[in-house]
Order: sequence, then C-alpha cells, then structure tokens
Amino acid sequence: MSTDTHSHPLLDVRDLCISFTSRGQSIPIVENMSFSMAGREILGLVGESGSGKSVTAMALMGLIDAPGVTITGSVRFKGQEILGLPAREFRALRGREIAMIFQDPMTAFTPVYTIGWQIDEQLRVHNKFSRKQARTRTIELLAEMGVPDPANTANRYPHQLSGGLRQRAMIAMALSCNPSVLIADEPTTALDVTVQAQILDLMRKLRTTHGSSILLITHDMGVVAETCDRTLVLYSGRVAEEGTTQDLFAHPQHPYTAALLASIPP
Amino acid sequence: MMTKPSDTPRTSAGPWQSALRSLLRNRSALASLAVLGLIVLACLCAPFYARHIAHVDPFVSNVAGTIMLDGQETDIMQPNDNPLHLGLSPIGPTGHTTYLLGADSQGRDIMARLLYGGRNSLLISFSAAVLCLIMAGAVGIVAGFFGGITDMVLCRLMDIMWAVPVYLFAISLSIVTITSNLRIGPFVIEADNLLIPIVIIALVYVPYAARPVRGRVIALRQAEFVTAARCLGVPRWRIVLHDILPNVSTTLVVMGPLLMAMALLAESALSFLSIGVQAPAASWGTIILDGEG
Amino acid sequence: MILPLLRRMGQTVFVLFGISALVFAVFFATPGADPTARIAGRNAAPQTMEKVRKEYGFDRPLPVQYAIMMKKLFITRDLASYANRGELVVPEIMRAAPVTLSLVTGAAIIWVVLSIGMGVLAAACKGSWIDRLLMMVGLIGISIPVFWLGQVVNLITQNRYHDTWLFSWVPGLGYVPFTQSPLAWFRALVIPWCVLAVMFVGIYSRILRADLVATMGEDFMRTARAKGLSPSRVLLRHGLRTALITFVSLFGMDFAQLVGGGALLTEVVFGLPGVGRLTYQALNSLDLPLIMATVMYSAVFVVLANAVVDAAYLFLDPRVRDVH
Ligand SMILES: Nc1ncnc2c1ncn2[C@@H]1O[C@H](COP(=O)(O)OP(=O)(O)OP(=O)(O)O)[C@@H](O)[C@H]1O
Ligand SMILES: [Mg+2]
Repeated sequence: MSTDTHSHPLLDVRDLCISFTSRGQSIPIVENMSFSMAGREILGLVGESGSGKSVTAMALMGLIDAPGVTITGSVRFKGQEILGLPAREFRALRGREIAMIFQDPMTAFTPVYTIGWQIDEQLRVHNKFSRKQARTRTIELLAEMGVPDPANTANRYPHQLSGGLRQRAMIAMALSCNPSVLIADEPTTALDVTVQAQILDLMRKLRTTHGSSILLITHDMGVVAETCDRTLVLYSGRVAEEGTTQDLFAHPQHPYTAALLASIPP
Repeated sequence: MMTKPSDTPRTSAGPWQSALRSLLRNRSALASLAVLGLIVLACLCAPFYARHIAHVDPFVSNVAGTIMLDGQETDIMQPNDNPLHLGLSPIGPTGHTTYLLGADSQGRDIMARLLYGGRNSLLISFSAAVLCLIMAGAVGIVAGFFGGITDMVLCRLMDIMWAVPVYLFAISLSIVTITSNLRIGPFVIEADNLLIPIVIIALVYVPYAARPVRGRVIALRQAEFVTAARCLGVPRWRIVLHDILPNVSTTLVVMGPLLMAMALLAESALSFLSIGVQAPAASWGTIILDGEG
Repeated sequence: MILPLLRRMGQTVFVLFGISALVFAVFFATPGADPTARIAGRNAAPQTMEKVRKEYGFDRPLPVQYAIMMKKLFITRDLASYANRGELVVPEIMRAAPVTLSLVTGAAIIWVVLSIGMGVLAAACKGSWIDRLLMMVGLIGISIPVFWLGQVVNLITQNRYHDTWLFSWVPGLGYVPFTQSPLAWFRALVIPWCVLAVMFVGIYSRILRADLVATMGEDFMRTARAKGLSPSRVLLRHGLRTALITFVSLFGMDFAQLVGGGALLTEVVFGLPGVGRLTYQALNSLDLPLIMATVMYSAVFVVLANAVVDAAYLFLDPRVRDVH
C-alpha cells in the first residue's frame, strides 16, 4: 500500500463534471475540474457562494444521489477509481478513509442521541469494537480535540454544548477512524472569531497528530492564507487558478483571484 | 407588498390568486373537486330524481308495495330463500330506474334516500364547517390580537373543550338538546331542527380550528405593515378588518375542506347513533343505520 | 426535570376542574327544560321528581349543585340511574372499561406496527409507485367511516360468507373476557381491532411518511450518511427515531381519545359491551346520569393520558427537557 501512495497522489480528480437536470434542461454545476492532493497536505478550495464547492465535496463523498444528476470524469483515491463504485464498497470508504466535517455543527448532529453515542456509532460501524472499547476511544478522541472533561461531555446531547465544542466533537467524529482525507466544508463559518481561530489551529495540528490531508472549503481568503499549503480558486464551477498559497497571494493570475484578495480586510 | 406605491388599494387578490393557481396546477385536487361537484349536483337533484326518474316517495314506508319490473309486478319485500321461505327481506339492486339500489327494511327506495340523505349530510357538514370557521376565526383573532388575559382565558377554554373526546362532547350536547326543545329567550328551536346538529358539530371543532388562526394572527401582529398601521394611529377595528382578516381568511379557507370532511364524518356518526338527523328525514349516517336491520 | 413535571401537574389539575365544570354546565345549565326531568327520565312520577330535586340540590344555587354532583361521581360514587331502576353508574363503567381497553389496545398495536411499516417503506421509496400506492391506500383508509366498514365486515363475516371456510371461525358478535378464555377473547376481538385500526393506519402512515421525508433533508441525516452507515440504519436509527417524537405524541392523544369514547361506534357495531356501548345504551334510554358519568370519566382519562404523553415527550426528546 505504501508503494502505492508513493506512485499515486492520495486523491486525484480528473475532468470532474457535475450537472443537474431540471425541467428537461441539463444545468452544469461543476465543469472539468481537475486537481490532486498529496499526503499530509492542506488544500484550500475557495470561491464565491454558489460556485459549486459543496457539490464537489459531496461528489467526492459519493453522497449525491438526487435524481437527474450526472457525474462524469474520474476520482482516484490511492489509485483506485471511486466514481461509480458500488454503494456497499463506497460505504466502507466513507467515514473510514474519507471523512467530512460540515458547516453548521448546530444541525449536523442527530438531536436525540448523545455526542458520545454518535461517535461510538461510527467507530463500531467500521471496526469490531465492543461498546466499552468504542467509548474509551471516543473519550480519548474528545480529549485530543481539546474538549474539557471529555467523559462527561460524551454523555451530553448536542443542544447542550456550545458551538465550538460541538465542532470539536464533529472533528473528533470525523477523525475517529483515522481517515486519510478529511473534507471540511466551511468548518468555521458558523463560529465566532476566537473559536474559529482555535478550530483552525486544531486542524493544522491534525496533519502531524493524525497524518491527515485536508480539503478545506471556505470563502474566507484570510483562513486560506493562514492554513492552506496550496489553494484552488473556483469560479462558477470551473477552476480559475491553482497554486501554492504563497504564489497565489503574491501574483494572482486570474482577475477573479485578484478581486477576492482585494476583498480581504487589511 | 408594502414597498409598492400606493396607487392601488391593497386587496387580498395576491394570496387568493396564487392559491387558485396552485389549485389549478394540482391535478388530483382538481379531480377530487370535480367528483365532489358531481356528488353535490346529484344530491341537489334528489327531488327531481325521486319524482320523475324513480317515481317513488322515499319518506313513507312501503312494505306491502309492489313495483313493475320488466312488465311484471314484483313485491318489494321478497321471501327469504331458505327452504321454508320464512321471513321477508327487501329487494336487492334491480338494475332499473325504480329501486335502482333496492329497498331498505321499510321498503323505501335506497337510491332516492341516498340522494336525499346526501342533501342533509352535505348541507349540515358544509354549514357546520362554515359556522365553525366563523367562530374559530373570531376566537382566534380576538385571542391573537388582544393577547394578555383575553388570550389566556380563551386558550385555556379551548384546551378544556378539546380535552373532552369530540364525539362524547357532541353526544352530550345532542342528548341535552334533543330531549326537549331548546329555548333561548323568545326563540324555540325544535328538536328535529337541522340547526341543532349544525351548531353542535361546529362548536365541537372550534378549538381545533381556532389554534392555527391564533398563531397566524400573532405572527401578523408583529408584521411590518401592522406595526406601521399602529404607529400611524389607525384604529384597532380597522386594522383587524383591513389587515388581519384578509390574511387570516386564507388560513381559514385552507382548513375548510378538512373541516368539512370531519364534519361529514361527525354528522354521519351522530345520525348513526340516532341523535343527529331525526326520522323520517335521512342522512348518510341514518341510511347506514337502516342497513343494520 | 422536576419543575416542568410539577408545572404540568398543576395544569392538569386546572384542566380537570375546567372539564368537570364544562360537562356540568352542558348537562345542567343549558337553557331549556328542567334538569330534574332529564335525570328522572321519561314520564317520571311526581314523587320521583321531588326525590331527584332533593338529591341533586336543584333547588339550591349552581355551585352547590356542582359540588353535590362531583361528590356523587368521584367520592361516594353512588350516582344512580333512574332510567335503569337505581343501577349504580360508576361500577357499571368500571365493568365496561376492560372491554374498551382490550379493543383499543389491540387496535393500537395493529395500527402502530402497520403504519410504521407503511410510512417507512413509502419514505424509503419516495416518488416510486410503491410510495404512491401506499399513500393511496392510506387515504382510502382515512375516508372510510368506521361504522360503515364495521357493518360491511359484519355482513360478510356473519351473514353472507359465514359458512365458507374463510370465515367459519368468526364467533358471533360480543365479547369474551380474557380471563375466561384467551383464545376466544382473541377471536372475538380480532376483527374489531382491524376495523378500528384502518383509519388510524391511514392517518399515521401518511403523517410518518411526511415527517420522514422532511427529516431526510436535515443536516444530521447527511452527517449520518457521511459516517458510512448503511441506508437502513440511517433511515431507522436516525430518521425514524427523530420522526417518532411527533408520532408518539399524536399516538398518545388518539389512544386516549379512543379509550375515552372514540371507540363508541366500533363497540356499537360489534356489540362489545365497553364504555362506548354503555353510552350508546344510555342514549337510547335517555339515561342522563350514566351519560354524564361516562363523559366525565372519559374526559378525566383523556387528561391524565395527555399528561403521561407529555412525560413521554420529555423522555423522547432531550431538547424539551432543558427548555424550562
Ligand atoms: N440538488 C440540487 N439541484 C439543483 N441544483 C443544485 C442542487 N444542489 C446544488 N445546486 C446548485 O449548485 C450550485 C452550487 O452549489 P454549492 O452548494 O456547491 O455552492 P457553494 O459553493 O458551496 O456555495 P456556499 O458558499 O454558499 O456554500 C448552486 O447554484 C446550487 O443552486
Ligand atoms: Mg456550500
């Protein structure tokens, strides 16, 4: 497997096209998107609202199943084509190899179960863990994410936690099976600024502690500058520009990137 | 709506038109409406049907009567087909205009009674639904608009009324009213007056319909245009009449069909228990009861 | 957790008082004839009328009458019916209650199981012909009056086809106590159960489907799928569990309404001597004390059951627990 990861990029997306059919018309949402991610890399995906960032993320997770959607192109994970993988095989990958964090931690947990129960569930689906083992691991994970008093927090319901704690729990859940790729769709948008900084800090540490690569979706150039190694700028469903974050900030090629950069408050 | 210049007076055409448009687009709703229209029409024609098509009087019992079928005289009450031919049972569906669906235990034409009964059932359920909506609208608007103590008292009262099982509540009211004529001041309402089931059914469902109205009014009270009208010093009754009522009426109209269906069921249940429509008049409930014998 | 429960109990007591006052007002303060005549029954002798007037305090002010009535109903429990030669009313209701409970509980089991099955299946196949078929069946179920259905079923199983192999096992109308013979009890009730359940299967499957479909659009369902759970686990453990909150609260209300008299029509049609049929017989003999007692006891039952439902709600939905 290790030779595999050397010869292939971890995640390789080629000519990804996604279109929705509505009233007999096919509307392209993402067109000819190509990029690749190496191990332990944080890749930023920026673009304005509606440019297709979330749709791309959902496609990588294999979670788009709306009727009338066509997805073409190729997505290779560790050299294996995952587009069009049978549902059962994709499910084994999801959460275990590729995990996702959502924008609004408020609504992303099922309200009627405790946080601990929900993390246990993911652990037990992918590993042969007993209830007890799962809970021990859950508490470890929560502690690692900087949740105070993890054993008690695990027994609390989502609505009883603050937004920041909930997002930490969300990250703990996503990381529970040590995924190689973590997709974070605007993980900090719903949080206030100080908490936002803490969460970003946590995500930066993940690559050393867990060895994860992160696809960080955001529309905040400030976040990109602080966090990402490389950045992909999306403009109405197409890749407008791609490069290391430093280059991109120093010499934006595309007028849209320049406009985005100009909009950062000094 | 408020951003529009005041060249046209505000009307409630907006919500109505959009409601109409969405109704026209909903094919199954249209189909149901058409069927309902047909049934109503058929029931309205009941007297015509009885006199000129079936040639029967559906309100007198006709146990000893005979009818002409295919040129033969046939008894309405046929002997049972047990070996001894003991007992009589009413004739079944004949396939002729006379006694199309056969006779009931008193030898009356079921089809004609069905149409006549439909008139009563539909009349009662429609009137009850309308009356209920009016009362619920009044209660809901008063509770929602004035709030405070008024609201609390009305809400608690509605809670209490709703806690009594609907049919039992209706039964209690009916039993009290049909044992003796109802005297309210100088007015006397006879026990077999259709008004009694109408009022009872309407009353019983008021708590059910008033709650959403109240919610809507409370939401409206905070709406911009009502606040604006208040700041301008528009008197309360004008606000209620011009701003609240048109907006609430859509809520009421949407509830209408559902209420009518519930009223129809309640009416037939009451009549089935013989405390709704009183004999010899018919309703769908009494006809089902007749079928029991 | 304790405070909301206490508050809820206070409300319950208030509603109980309100209901008793309302029922009392309906029976004794509606404009029209003298309540004495109503209680005494048809063509009562003047001595009886006088006795009734004394006994119920109709010559005294309304609050006193109310107090006397409540005492007779709930404390001394010696309310007697005049139409039925002094039969004590409250024990009669207590004897009928198990029949109603048997009927409603069985029907409830059927409708809960069937409607969850239908609702989940329809939601899982949203938009397909299965979905449309199930919802159509549900709609038909809703629109059939239970007494009509009951009579048709009776006609088929008791008369027309009773002698065929299919329905020869059906016993005659009536009830057999469970303690006497569980099998006979089951046979006597199984058809009434199904008939009573039909409408509720329709209502609940449609509501559950709508709730589930709405839940599927929620963020947490997306999270659950992203965790790599199987579709059935996502639908049942996450979707259904959340949608059940509404389902259970509705169920509690309807169950209470049925036990408290809603099953009257079914009992009448199938000749089951439950509280509902007792009310029906009282209607025919114009036995006011009996009707009033059944209405009052049913209302009390409904209110108490609603309080239990609210407690269940606290148990099912952790969000409500912390609200107060
Ligand atoms: N199920 C769907 N059917 C039709 N169109 C859709 C569907 N889901 C998304 N879209 C369209 O796809 C486009 C891209 O949506 P997407 O959610 O990816 O934007 P985004 O870049 O994530 O924006 P934001 O920053 O607001 O989250 C939007 O124009 C949206 O209307
Ligand atoms: Mg998005």
